[in-house]
Amino acid sequence: MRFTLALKNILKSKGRSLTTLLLSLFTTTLFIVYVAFMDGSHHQIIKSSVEIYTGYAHVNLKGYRDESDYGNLIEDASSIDEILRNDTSIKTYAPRFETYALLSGDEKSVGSMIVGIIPSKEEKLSKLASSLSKGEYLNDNDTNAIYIGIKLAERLKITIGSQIAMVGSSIDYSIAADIFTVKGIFKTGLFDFDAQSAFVNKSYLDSVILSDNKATYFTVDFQNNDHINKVTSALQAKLPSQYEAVGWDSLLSSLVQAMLVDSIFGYISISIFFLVIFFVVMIFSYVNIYTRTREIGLLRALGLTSKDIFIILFIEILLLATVAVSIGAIIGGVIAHHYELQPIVIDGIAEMYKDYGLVSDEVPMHFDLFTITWNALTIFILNLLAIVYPALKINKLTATEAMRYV
Amino acid sequence: MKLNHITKTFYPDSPKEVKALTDINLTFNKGEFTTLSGESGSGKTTLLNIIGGLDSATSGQIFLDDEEISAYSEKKMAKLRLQEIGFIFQAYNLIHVLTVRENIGFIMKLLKFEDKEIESRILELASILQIENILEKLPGEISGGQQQRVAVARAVASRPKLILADEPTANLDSKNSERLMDMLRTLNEKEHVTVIFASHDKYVLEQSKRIIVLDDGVVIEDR
Ligand SMILES: Nc1ncnc2c1ncn2[C@@H]1O[C@H](COP(=O)(O)OP(=O)(O)OP(=O)(O)O)[C@@H](O)[C@H]1O
Ligand SMILES: [Mg+2]
Repeated sequence: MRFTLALKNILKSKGRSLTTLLLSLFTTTLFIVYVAFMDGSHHQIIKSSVEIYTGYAHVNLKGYRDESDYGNLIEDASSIDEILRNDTSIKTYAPRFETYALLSGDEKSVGSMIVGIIPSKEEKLSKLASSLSKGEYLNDNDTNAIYIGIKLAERLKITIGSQIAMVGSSIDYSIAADIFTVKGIFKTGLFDFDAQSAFVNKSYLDSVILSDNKATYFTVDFQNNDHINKVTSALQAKLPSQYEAVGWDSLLSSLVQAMLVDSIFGYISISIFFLVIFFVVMIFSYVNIYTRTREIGLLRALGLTSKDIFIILFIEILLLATVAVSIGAIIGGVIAHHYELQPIVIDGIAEMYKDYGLVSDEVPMHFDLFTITWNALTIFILNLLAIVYPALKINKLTATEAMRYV
Repeated sequence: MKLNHITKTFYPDSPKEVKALTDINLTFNKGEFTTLSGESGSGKTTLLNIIGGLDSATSGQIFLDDEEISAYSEKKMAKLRLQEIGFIFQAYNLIHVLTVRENIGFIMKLLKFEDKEIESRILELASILQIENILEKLPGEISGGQQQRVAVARAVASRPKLILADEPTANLDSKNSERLMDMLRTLNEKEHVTVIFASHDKYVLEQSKRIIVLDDGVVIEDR
């Protein structure tokens, strides 16, 4: 009977029900879209960092992440190469040798990261080749050709065909020096990366700094990178004990943390919005419930307890919120899904967030069922909470007081 | 049922203070057919509400079968009302989202009577009160007199031991008043239901076996 009464109350008061419904529906959709957009931009930032250069996972000597120096090199790169080659969960991989050197153009000298890469393999692993801005990308037969970031080229005041001198350190700590010709200039959009890195063919760099069959790390792309912790620990198990496999979330831990902090600020600002919504819903329920005071008084007079009244009001909001939040979640989900496939373009957003590593004005939303579920549940619970105060308040009236109410 | 020194004061100790009832001592026996009479504002509704546990007395006690119901918790009192008392109020009696049929069956449904029994009782009462053809209507779609008859049907449907009726004939013409009184009278005689009215309707007074007259919150006559 309580359920029937609640249902009839909803159906017979169409205006009231519809307003409540639309209010929670709108809130649900808005919340889901907001979070999808926020998550989307964060995913985008992390994804570009991962895909442009870092890669989904690294294999390196334990200790290398704390001290990235010549004391922590992979001494026998071919043995790791063989393990990775035989691992079917891995799509591609390549060794890299990262070192630091002084680069000098005609007028200026700049400290920079120099990386020895296998150009043909790197083409499949990172966005280096596709980020070509001027000149040409490297090939596996190149000798003293260098591929440098656009900002670095600007700082050195050089262009394609210019010569630059490199002074660095061999792995035996003797001085290594050579002259390179600029073959290509790249622009990834990652500001620091474009300003501080240069690439050369690894086989040639090995001869300059005596790093033959050595690598600072291997970068690895798995067949499926979705559950990075699972695949990296599986790989870890196959490696000799002095090596470790590290997933992108650890490799980019400071970026991941920055995104987390940004999310927290995002949630704080949306909480303020929720507080407003919560009070709107509450005031609305308050008015709704008070216009029914006489009827509630009658029910109490007939022998329903205040608990029964509370249950009726609760069933009403439960039904309305279930419908509203479900529809709201579906609409929010569809929007999130649509803009995940066809990202929103916001002119200038990449420029604004370039320090974060946003490289494109296209910001896809992030569609995630788990996120949508908890977003929807939050609004749902908020809706239920909003009637508690008005319901308790009206139950304070005695039956006769309530029946007198006009 | 016994009322001991019942007093009701609204807004006590304030300038607006109203002494609605003063030291009421009454005993109602099972199967009584009694009317509380008196001028408007004399305290009829207030007394009826206190008897039905809708309002609490400022002081005094009410006993039902030697149990002090004036000391009952809200929950216990609600249960007593649901199971033992049928109410007919002065106004605003029906649940407006339920049809006439559902309103009549409301208490029986809450008391978990079987659907079949509820249905046959609804039809029986509808025929006595001549409301068979409005069973599917909503309270907002029927006249005041019809509403009052529906309220009567609901009050008696579950066969409560006590029926409290506040001006039940106020909205009825003389013919319908007669029908209603006849029906309550029959219930009273056949099923020994105790009926207490608040009314100054002459016809009601004529039919009553006992008349209690209130004046300004005091019993001035009991015959
Ligand atoms: N909730 C209330 N608050 C304040 N005063 C009240 C309240 N209810 C009743 N009164 C006062 O108590 C007195 C008795 O009122 P009551 O409603 O019992 O009269 P009544 O005999 O039923 O009158 P009527 O025939 O007009 O229905 C009146 O003076 C009334 O103003
Ligand atoms: Mg009255």
